[in-house]
Amino acid sequence: MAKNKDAQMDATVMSGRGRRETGALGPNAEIGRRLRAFYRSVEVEPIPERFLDLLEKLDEAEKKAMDGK
Amino acid sequence: MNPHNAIENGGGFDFKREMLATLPTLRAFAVSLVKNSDRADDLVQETIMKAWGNQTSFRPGTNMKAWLFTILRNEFYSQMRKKGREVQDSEGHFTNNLSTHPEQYGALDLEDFRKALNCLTHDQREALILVGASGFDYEEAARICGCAVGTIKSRVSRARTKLQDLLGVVGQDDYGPDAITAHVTNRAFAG
Repeated sequence: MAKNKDAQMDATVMSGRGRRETGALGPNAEIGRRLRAFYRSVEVEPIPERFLDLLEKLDEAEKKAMDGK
Repeated sequence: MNPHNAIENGGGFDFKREMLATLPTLRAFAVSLVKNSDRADDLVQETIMKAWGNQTSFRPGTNMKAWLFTILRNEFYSQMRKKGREVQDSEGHFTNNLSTHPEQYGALDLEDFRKALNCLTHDQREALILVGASGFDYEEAARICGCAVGTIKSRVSRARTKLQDLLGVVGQDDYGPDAITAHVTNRAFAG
């Protein structure tokens, strides 16, 4: 994924996993920092139960369908 | 045989588990796109169902995050069109309630940022989020949005400039015409 970055004059940030971060959304740029802080604040919230329930239901329905064959 | 079932394929790709692992970032993207956070969770729910129904069209080993983001984005715009809303929303108004300590992002800072983000147009906001927060590069973001790489770049650039204006931020790594910070405080907020 990094191979395209050299060609990008205004290469932007990645999520801080050691990839090169340069340019206007990089770690030294205020907007980039605030953007990631905002995004992160949602990412760290617990997954709503409704999604876990939904996935369980979908999974069970699928298993039932397979067992029935 | 279901190629996405881990037990059947010898403990390899597990569609449900992969999707679960992607939910936090998917949800963050939804919250960023949709101004109402409750609606964001509805959108994620729709996406989960659509993705599940289409799982045979997903090739294990390819980028599930990009695949899910594309589904969510398409669902978002499809719903907007059904409601007859303008897809290109007008830029909102913003009341500047800056807190005084930008290094530590407390609830007020996040709220300010959120408000500023809502002042962007949809295409600027999504481009900025995809590239600046969700971890995609320009090419991936362009594919997700169904547009050219250059279009993404210019949207990101405009989004960044607008946010700098709204938040009164001095661009430290900026270059080119956008770096003229002297004009920041003189620019109008509303579009």
